[in-house]
Parts: sequence; C-alpha cells; structure tokens
Amino acid sequence: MDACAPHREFLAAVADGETGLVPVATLDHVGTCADCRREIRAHQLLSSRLRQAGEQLHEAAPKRGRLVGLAPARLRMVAVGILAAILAGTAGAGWFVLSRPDPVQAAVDASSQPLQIESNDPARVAQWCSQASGRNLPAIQLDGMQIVGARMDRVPSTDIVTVVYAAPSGARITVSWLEGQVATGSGVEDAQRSGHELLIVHSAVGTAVIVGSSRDAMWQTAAAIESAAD
Amino acid sequence: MNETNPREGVDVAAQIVELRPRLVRFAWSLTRASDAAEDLAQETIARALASQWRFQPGTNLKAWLFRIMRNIHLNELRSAGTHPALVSIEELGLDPATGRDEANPVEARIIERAALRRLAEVYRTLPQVFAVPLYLTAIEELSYADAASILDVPVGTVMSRVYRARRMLMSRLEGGH
Repeated sequence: MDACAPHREFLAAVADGETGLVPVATLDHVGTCADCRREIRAHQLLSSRLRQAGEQLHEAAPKRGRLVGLAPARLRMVAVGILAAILAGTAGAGWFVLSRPDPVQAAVDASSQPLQIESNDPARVAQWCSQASGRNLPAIQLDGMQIVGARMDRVPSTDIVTVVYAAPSGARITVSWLEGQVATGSGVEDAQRSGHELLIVHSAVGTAVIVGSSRDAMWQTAAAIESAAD
Repeated sequence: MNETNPREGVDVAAQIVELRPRLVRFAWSLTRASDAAEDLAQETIARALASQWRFQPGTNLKAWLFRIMRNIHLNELRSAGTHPALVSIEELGLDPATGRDEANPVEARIIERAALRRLAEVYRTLPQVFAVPLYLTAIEELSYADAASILDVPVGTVMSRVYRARRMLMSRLEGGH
C-alpha cells in the first residue's frame, strides 16, 4: 500500500478547507507529500471550474419566475401560508428554539443507553464506529481502563458516537463524539445536564462529551483526548 | 454570505422567493429534468412560505430550503416507488479486487484544458448520489456539515462522496467519457 492511501479520502476535505474533519496525521502527511498537494490543487481547480460552468451544468434550466404564474388555488395556499406565518410569528419562533435538540443533552442521554456493540477489542469497536457513522474517530488510550463497547445515536443534524470504557474498580466512562461540531478552539468545559456532571472537550480531533462515575477518570479521559490532538 | 444568512430587517418570505433560481438549480441536481425541477422548486417555495416561522433566524436559509426540497423529493420518490440507482465499484474508481481507491495521479492540466461545456457534460454523467453532495459543497459552497444535514447523512459520508465525485470527474475528463 502506498503511503498516500490512508489519507487520500480526506484530500477533498482539505481542499475545501474542512480541516476540522481531517485527521492530524493526514494534515502532517499533506505537508510533506508533493503528490497529495498536487491532488488537493486539482480538487480546488475542479470546484472553481464547476462554479464557472454555472448554468451549463443544468440542461436548459428554466430562468423565468413562476410565482406569478401559479394557479389560483396555489396562490391562495401561498397567501394563507404567509398569513399563518404572520399569526404564528413569535410563538412559533419560540417553540422552534425550545424544541431544538441539544447535542450535549443527547450525548448524556446516550451515555445511559444499552451498547449496540460489546467488545473489549479497540480495533473492532473502532471499525464498528467507523461503519456506523461514516467517519473515523480518534483512538483514545486510557490508562487502566478497558473499552467495553459503543453505540450510535442520531439527533437532527448531529450523529453521536458513544464509546464506553470501564476500570477494574467498576468506574465507567462514556465518551460521546459529536459530529459536525468543528472546534474553533480547544479546552475543557465543566458542565451539568439532568443532574449529571460532565466535561465537554473541544479539541482538534473533535468535540467530545465525557460522562462518568469518577471525576478523576473523567479528567484523565479529557487529558487523553487533548493529548491525541497534539 | 448575505444570500444564505437572512438580512436583518428584510422579510424572510422575500428572501425565500429571491433564492428561487438557486432552488431550481438544486432541484435539477435532484431530478435531472427541467420541468420536474421547476415543479419541485415551486412546491418548496410554497411549503417554505407556509412554514417560515419554523426557520431559525441566524441559521442558513438556503440550507433550510434545500433540506425542505430534499424531503419533498424523497417523499415523491417513495410515492412513485422509485429507488436510487446502484453504483458499481468500477464507477466508484475502486479496484474491484481490493475495493481500494485506485491511485491514479490527478493531472491539473486536464482540468485546465477542459472546456466548460465538456466539464458540464461530464458532470451530468455523475451518479446522483455523488453529484448532489458535490453540487452543495463545491457550487453552492455550503459547509460539509450543512450538506450532511440537508442530505441526512453523516458528515463523513459527505466527505467521502465529494471526494469520489471529484475523482470520477477527473477520471472521466481524462478518459474522454
């Protein structure tokens, strides 16, 4: 296998500036590999040319406006819709904000749900997580703790992969990786949800919510995640 | 971008209608037919206007509209009993023996030399499952997270499909598909 193979699928993301989704190892590799940098430039060039092609991409895409050409029944529906929107207004917006799913709360909820895969083999769990979520998660090694399994949950716009670890003492730690939460900085945030104490780790390898029965083990996990990002 | 984040003091309904050309183009990516694209865009506008109170200010209006459109389209496909076409491993540019990506070198000069009309022709041959994520990210310049939300797939899937779409385009341009 050539040295570029494990990194190739991430090159489009690098080209598009989505580096928060790209493993650090790939960014390191790209920095030293002329072939991969050439491919990244080709990806960028292709996008630029597609944007130039514009309308030509779509065969005879219609240009005329049709709102005025709507049938009377449809026009009435649109008018009723606008009126309903005005009446619903503030109450509706408030409902939407309140009903928006909180990914951190969803991660806490997931931490107490049954495992979907049970295994002490980190490679097997990692493979399952990758297949279930379509993304590669960072491998986190926790001293004195053993991986016991994982599950995946989906809330609107966010997939959450939760990996569970256990210590011989019985202490249990869950690490929930939130999808699409690209870190703008790094750090550990102490928080509470539904009576659970938790840590939210923002790092270059992703955002993770840690829940556990031992504060020491939770902080140890946060440190391991931050180390993985270095 | 101004066009995607609703402007303060400007009626959301007006901005929805302003985005109509973009909606027609995205609808074409989904339907590959001008008449169907026109109807789909119109239906999307009607539904968005009727439920605009659901739109959360400060978020991406275009992504919200695209998500509505994609849901309408999926429902139409389900009603018609239509299923997306399967894509062969060869089409994906994978080695049939190993399933791995064939490491053909990419030549920027081929892309530079290709006429835009030729590029558009090749783009239209892409399987929809790859063309749509590429359209959203490369042409509409939405983030991978927004594209994933519109398509209801993990962001890693968007990343992989955008990569495959571009590789297919490059390969077909080179091969004179």
